[in-house]
Amino acid sequence: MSREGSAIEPSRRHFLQAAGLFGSIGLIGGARALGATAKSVRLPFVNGERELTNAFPQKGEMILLRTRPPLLETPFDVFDHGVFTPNNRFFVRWHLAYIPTQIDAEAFRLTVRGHIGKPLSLTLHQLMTEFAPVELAAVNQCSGNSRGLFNPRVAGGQWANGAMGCARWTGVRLKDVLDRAGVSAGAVQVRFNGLDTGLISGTPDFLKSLDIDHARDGEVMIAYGMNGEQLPLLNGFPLRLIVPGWYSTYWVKMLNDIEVLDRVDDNYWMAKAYLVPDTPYASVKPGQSDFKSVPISHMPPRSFITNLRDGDRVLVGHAVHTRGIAFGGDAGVSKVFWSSDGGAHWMDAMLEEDHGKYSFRRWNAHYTPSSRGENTLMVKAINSNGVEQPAVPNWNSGGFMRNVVESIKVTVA
Amino acid sequence: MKCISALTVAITLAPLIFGFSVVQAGPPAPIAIHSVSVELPVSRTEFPPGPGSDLSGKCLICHSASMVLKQPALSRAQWTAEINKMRHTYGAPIDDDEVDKLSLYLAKINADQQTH
Repeated sequence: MSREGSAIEPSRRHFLQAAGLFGSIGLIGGARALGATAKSVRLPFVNGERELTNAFPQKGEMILLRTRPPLLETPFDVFDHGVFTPNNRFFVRWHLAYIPTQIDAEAFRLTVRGHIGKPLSLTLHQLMTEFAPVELAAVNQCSGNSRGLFNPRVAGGQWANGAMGCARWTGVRLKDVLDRAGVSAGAVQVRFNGLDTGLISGTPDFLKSLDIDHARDGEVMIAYGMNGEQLPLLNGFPLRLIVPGWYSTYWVKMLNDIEVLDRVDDNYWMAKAYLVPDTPYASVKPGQSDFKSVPISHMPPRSFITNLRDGDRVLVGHAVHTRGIAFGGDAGVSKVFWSSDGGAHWMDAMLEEDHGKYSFRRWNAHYTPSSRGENTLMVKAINSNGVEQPAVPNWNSGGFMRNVVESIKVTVA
Repeated sequence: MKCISALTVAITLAPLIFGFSVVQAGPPAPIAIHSVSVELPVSRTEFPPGPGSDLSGKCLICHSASMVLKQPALSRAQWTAEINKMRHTYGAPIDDDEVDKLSLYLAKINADQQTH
């Protein structure tokens, strides 16, 4: 239902993967015709036809949403391959039309300025050798991930569920860099800028800010490494801000300027864009206007089934190994529950290795269909703060923060 | 895929033992950083013909056509609001007397996209 993976590959390949990996005899095939071409996909909403592209530098096959500036979605089957999303399949999202395509690693500088004692201009080499390196596994998810599944639909980038990924980020603590510069008393926020810009003078530069205490919490990072390598250019080479547990809009790419502010940032991208209703699940009724809006911030939990998809066929009485990924948002995954009766009963899924509270976490379950017909499988996560995925989808006019319990329908034969 | 890793410089991270505490027990493995020079692809998607399509080139200053063509069904009023957001927030050079014509065109081609 709510997964775009259904049309991505010919079902036969899916079947072979499933059978090969689990040795399962319960799964007998998918819903799509064999031999379907893999050059386009249909995401599960109206006007969801998408080209699959290999045309982007340092990227493998991606779902093309927009060529310039690039919006590239990760095909959902990638999430079944492991906890960490490969760099060449990691989703891509840019706002502004000018993106440098040549970056000289020696000439690049990261500046730190503003409400500080001593302005800095750091080379990559300095950043990598003069500060303690840290590494953190963290999910990077677009604020508008799954926007195409909103009902009623809303304008914006029409993503299915693939505007997210998880990587091991290597870099330095933002706190350490700010400490080197010496934050002055009265600092309120820290603003981040990257090398991208608009092409016409009226376009506001893409700037994002964090509160000073958040910026200095020791978790926010400046990353030069992604899964053990330098970042692909389209994912922010050479430096990217990592804001664990928060939506990707804050993870400024090609980060080259840090400004400590003595006021709350009122630039367009903080004050007007990426605002969400200050309501539970950022949810309101279409047409509703009596609510306060606030800048989007931390993520709630989500979970997905990755090895079965809508329309798959399974055999009655035979166990099917079911698995997927979960993440807790701004907290670890505490529990993952799954249901095979549309949510009437929930069972504990088995959780695999914990790579840290901000990471994807793999879950497994054994599903043995007991009667023929259509069966609704569901999965939901609860994070270590006790926050649980909602049974009902949220709605807001920006198409932000979807995290409803996911479900798929399989046919039991 | 055009990726000419120019290798202007290779900076190898000297592993630093101290102060490492975030997740792993040991320090992260060294990461080599190389200069990058790439080419981004050019969009092959064009706006469909029709009255008003002459104005669509103004949209292409900042983004390729698929940003428009992949939207869900939006009303003419919503397209007018989008056009005005592009004008007033992003500085799109669209004149007052062009808004009606462009919104009519976008509403038409958008409706034509909602068939499947």
